[in-house]
Amino acid sequence: MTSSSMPSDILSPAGQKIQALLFVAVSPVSQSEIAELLSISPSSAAEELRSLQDFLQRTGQGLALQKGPEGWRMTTAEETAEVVSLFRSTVLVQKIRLSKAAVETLAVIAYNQPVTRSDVEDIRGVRCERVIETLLSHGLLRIAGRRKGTGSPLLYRTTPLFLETFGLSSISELPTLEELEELNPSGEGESTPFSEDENL
Amino acid sequence: MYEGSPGFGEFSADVEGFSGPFDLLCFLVESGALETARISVGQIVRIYGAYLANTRHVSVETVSEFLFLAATLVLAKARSLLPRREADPAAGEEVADDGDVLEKISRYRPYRIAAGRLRAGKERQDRIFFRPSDEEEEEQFGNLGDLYALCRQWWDIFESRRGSLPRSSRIEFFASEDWDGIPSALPEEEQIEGKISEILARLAGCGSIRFSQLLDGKGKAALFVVTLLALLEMARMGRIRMEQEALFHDVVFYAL
Repeated sequence: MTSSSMPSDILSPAGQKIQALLFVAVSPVSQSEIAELLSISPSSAAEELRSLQDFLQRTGQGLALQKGPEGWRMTTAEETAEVVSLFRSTVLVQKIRLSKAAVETLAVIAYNQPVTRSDVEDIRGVRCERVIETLLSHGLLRIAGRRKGTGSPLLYRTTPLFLETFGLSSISELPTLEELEELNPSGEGESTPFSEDENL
Repeated sequence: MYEGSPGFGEFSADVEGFSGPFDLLCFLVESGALETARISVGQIVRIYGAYLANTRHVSVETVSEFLFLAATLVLAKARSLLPRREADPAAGEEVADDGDVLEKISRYRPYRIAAGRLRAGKERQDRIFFRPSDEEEEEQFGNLGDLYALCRQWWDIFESRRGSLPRSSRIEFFASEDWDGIPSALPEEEQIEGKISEILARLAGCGSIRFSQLLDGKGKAALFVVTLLALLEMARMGRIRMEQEALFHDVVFYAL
């Protein structure tokens, strides 16, 4: 019987080892690395990871398991946010403050990448030079070459930090634009898109 | 009429309904009789400018008319180069603009929804924390600045040493054992340990010191090598922190 077939209050030996590994890891650990360390198949590692994720959530350990673009890592549970956010200033540096304009710019780039600044400005209807510069400095965007043609404008792409910041493991997790339209066909609650750019 | 004849430069051609050749040209362009893209505005301006200069009696009205017609020609040319939008004869200009805005709003709507979802994701993500990466710490201890800045220190030593030697000694200078690295007077470890003690003593006095100051302006290759090795060892031991303000700048060392 696998550890995931029946919910249990006790972790499987493999689950315990994975938990210990992720506890000491200072950067995300890939599924293949876990499989190699435990001498198990990648599919078994995936199953154990899901099982551990479920276990942590179900038993209220104050911790959680998260899959990011570069692998799995142990995080604090959402419920503990208030107290953890007060604990030393070091934890605060992990968070990036983003304006509404910045998030909308990121959304446009995420769905059209690689994309030029003028493409983004054409969709948003406002100048985006400063927003893009700030997003580049935060490491949420990267320059992905130049488009061939007049002026050879720079192309932009989102980075793994973008995925990490928004809790995504890959860009494919984003719903398509058509799906989004279906979710909110009337656009209710949406303000005008051509408002003046806010400061970041 | 030929060049040098009494009337040359005062020639004028009047066509009924047109005030001059440039006006006629503009009419031909606007009426579509001439293809705008094939007209060299620069050449026309040069010719017409030369003609106006030759007349020697140019009035303000003539110049202003010339500028107006030249601008008209440039505008016509610019329009001919841009893709044309098929106008809807039934709709007025104002209605067409509204349609354009509505289309843009409609096109932008899914991105706003996506941004809303991203914000929600970020809010969730902001409530979770993880063990901070030690990448920054590694960078702090292991970064000796960019390679160019390091090379520059070496070139300075090289140039000062080379410049101080007579031409006849330069061949020997290049073959000198000093350039092989550390001189053999003391074992490598002892020299580095001594340099570490020296740097720590200097740091104790002032708190921070620049790489160039550590070399004391002495053009010694051995000093450069020993200092560099000592600094790397100190960084490895966590005794110093290194900072480079900007690319190609001097590296500053701080005591920890």
